[in-house]
Amino acid sequence: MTVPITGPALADPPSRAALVDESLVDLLLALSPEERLRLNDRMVLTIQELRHGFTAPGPDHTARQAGGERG
Amino acid sequence: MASPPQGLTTLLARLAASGADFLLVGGLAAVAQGAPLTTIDVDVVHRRDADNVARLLEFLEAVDARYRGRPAGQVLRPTPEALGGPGHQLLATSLGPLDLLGAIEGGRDYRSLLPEAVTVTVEGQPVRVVRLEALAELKRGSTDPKGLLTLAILEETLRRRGGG
Repeated sequence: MTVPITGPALADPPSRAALVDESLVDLLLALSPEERLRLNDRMVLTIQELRHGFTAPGPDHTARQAGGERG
Repeated sequence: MASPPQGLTTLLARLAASGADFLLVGGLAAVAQGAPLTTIDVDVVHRRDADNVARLLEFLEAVDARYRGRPAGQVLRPTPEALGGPGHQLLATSLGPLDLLGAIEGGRDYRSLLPEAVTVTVEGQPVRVVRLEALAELKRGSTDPKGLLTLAILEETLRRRGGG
């Protein structure tokens, strides 16, 4: 699965091109292929950590349960 | 999905080190060439001859490859017959998700895509990557919004690079 780093798709092709962050493209073009791949690895790890953070119980979840959560 | 402990870069480098012939395509091929995308799997088009399939299977066994999306406890492993065909083998490995594609858009296979490849070095290993221009051409037939948005990004990357 590939996720474009930009906004939502538009129907008009010229407008779509305007959505691409040119400075981000320039930054990436200045890196080596391996550096770009490593950056992707870090992005994937961040996504997984965020996904885990949203699905895993929070740090005070157990304490709230033990104390009888009242809402 | 389990966290790949070493990342897709290592999966790609280990696959290259196996000696199997393949071409990197898809999101990671675009990433390697500077496109601002994030992708969570490695997509490759492999050479489907018996000798190459045997090398691939040896590598796949070493990284505990099995089909993704199977019910818990039902492990299905790739076979020589599957890798020898044009279909897509969507696998989970100990290093991360790996999609082995016999053929992609327009029936393009390893041999027809090989002239469109450039070589990059990853962890000291040469890796053949389908050029950004060819990746954009493959996306031009896309009708889904995600494909069109990806095309815009590839074209902008080519423009900024001075090659599009």
